[in-house]
Amino acid sequence: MQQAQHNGASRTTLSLSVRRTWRRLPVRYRGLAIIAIPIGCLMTSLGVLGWLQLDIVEDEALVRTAQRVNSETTRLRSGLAETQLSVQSYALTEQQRFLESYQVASLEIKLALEALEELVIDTPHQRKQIRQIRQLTDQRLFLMTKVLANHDESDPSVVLGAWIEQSEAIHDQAELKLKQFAAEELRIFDQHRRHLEKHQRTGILLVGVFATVGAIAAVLAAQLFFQLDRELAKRQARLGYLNQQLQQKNEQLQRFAANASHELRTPLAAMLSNAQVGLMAPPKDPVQPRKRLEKIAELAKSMSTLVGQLLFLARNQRRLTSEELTEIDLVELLRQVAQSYSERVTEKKVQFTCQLPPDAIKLAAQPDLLRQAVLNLLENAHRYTPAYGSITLRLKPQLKDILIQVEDTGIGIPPESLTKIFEQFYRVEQTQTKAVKGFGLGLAIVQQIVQTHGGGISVKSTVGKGSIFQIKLPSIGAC
Amino acid sequence: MRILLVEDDPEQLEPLHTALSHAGHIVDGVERGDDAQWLIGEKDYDLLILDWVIPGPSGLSLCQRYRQMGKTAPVLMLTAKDMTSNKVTGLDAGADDYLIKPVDVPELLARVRALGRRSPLWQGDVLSIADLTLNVTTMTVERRQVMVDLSGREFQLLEYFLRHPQQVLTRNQIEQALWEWRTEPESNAVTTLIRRLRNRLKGLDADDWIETVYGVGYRCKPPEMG
Repeated sequence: MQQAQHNGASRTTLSLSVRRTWRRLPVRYRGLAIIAIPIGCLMTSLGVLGWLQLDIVEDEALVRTAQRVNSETTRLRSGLAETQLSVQSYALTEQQRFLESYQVASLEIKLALEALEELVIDTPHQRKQIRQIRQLTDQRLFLMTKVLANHDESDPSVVLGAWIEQSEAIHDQAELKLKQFAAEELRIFDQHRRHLEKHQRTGILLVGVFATVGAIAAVLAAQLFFQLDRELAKRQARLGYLNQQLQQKNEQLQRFAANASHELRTPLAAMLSNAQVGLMAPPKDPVQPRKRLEKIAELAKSMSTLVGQLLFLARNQRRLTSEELTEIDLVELLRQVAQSYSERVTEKKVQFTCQLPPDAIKLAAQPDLLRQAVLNLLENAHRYTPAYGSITLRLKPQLKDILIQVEDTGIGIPPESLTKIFEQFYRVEQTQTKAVKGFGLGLAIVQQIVQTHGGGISVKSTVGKGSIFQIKLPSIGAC
Repeated sequence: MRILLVEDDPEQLEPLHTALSHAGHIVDGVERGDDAQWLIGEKDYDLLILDWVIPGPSGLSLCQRYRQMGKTAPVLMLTAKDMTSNKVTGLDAGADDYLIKPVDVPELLARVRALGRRSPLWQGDVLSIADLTLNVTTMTVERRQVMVDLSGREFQLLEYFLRHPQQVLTRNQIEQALWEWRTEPESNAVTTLIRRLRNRLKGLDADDWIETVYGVGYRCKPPEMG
């Protein structure tokens, strides 16, 4: 039972692997195979049919030969009997017509013998038999000629009696030989026929087999055609999908390039204007050009930040490999971030709280990138939280994931903007609040960093009340 | 000229505003489209310089509305949109000129001068009264081969007087004409400015041409005409 199951399983794996190999073959080879199978079957069937036809032709020739051998043998025997009768009658009556009939009969014998020799030319044994029969016949004819030549001189009854005895003996011998010959001929004929019947049976069987195989192959071919068709359709669908994705990616890139160039051009335009206005100032005014230079320096710094952020986004796009990750203590990392951040936050009168678990939490990460992500979230919260608001940084280890939350009591994000805030260069339109500076890349960078670590980012927000940003990272055990 | 400058980036607005003011124009600079829309309804400008992408109604729709109001003052589009199709759209919306950012300040000033010349009120690069000539390009005033440079404000005041000769101009009128929107001149600003202009004109022996009309305002009155 187990053995049978095992056999079944191995058959399944075999058929699976065959199927897999078949699918992996290029389409042209599979197409060739599909066409080759039925055509091969057809050709083989035709060949077998042709061979059978040849056999039948051969068979018919053989039957014809057998019939002729039969008739020639009969002719020979009747000829022999006729000569005997004619000689006897002539000896008794001396009538000329018996002599004539004897001559006709002996000619018949000669012709029959020649025909028989011709017919059995391929079988040496039969040829020998014929030769013996001919000798016997010749002997008899010679005897008859002697009887006919001498019958005037002696007493016909005595001579005739002796001749008849002698002739009877030879006749019996010839008859025996002829019987043997006929039997042998029959045997050969039977053998041929049996052989032929066997061939025919095999041929019919072969045709049947090939027809069946051909039919199965045709069905298979049809099925394979359908399969190929399905595969092509699938491939086309996949190509279409890929193409669509590429187009999306391309549009995204174009948007990015347009946004990036616009964002770079804006400070550039301001720098140029400031420089030119500074140059136009009267020579005796040293204050104005100095102010312009300060402005230009400030603008150049912000531009440099933008370029840095753009490069960061361009460089860190792929998922980090395990070699690039190091094991860190997330609690310690967040503590450092919180410390450096709280020094900056005091000037704005915003209350900053940090809720971290007491024990270390190990995580595989790139510490610099992770630090940048959390810092960006904190800066974002800081930017949109008015004075006397509060910002909280939380770390919540869970069963499979680790959650880092940044909660603020800021202005909040309108629902229609929630899905867009992680897009590059997206900034929520500020109508009432003061102009908030920034390039709209901070959150895009956070999302990219989190994604390179195999995590995700989400946001919940209520306009006027505040927002919660949550980073979800897989813990070491879950990886 | 009185110019409305609309540009949403304060970093770019400020130097352009300064450059245009130094060139002797009275410039109202705003960052938002809705402010600009209110101003074009309230005040008369000699030139509009509009950025395309601004919060509120866009520069393009401002230009269209301005033309629909039947106003003919030239409009200069100032934008980062650099495609030919953008230029065509902008000019078809009623703009007279189109400049692409980053803008070259000397070029902007030259184009502003060129657009000023297109105005039906344009009288050439000089304004004159009797033998006194004011060159609006170089911001200099000349009389009997003596030339004096003027500061922006002084120039604007003299230009205003020369455009309205013999007319008594009240302090309020002068404030409205010379001071930009949302700027409150100090109470004695006009008096101080008049004194400064008279000081300049002293070099040309024409300081008494600006006459004080007590209780009303001031009048430009060359002696020969009196």
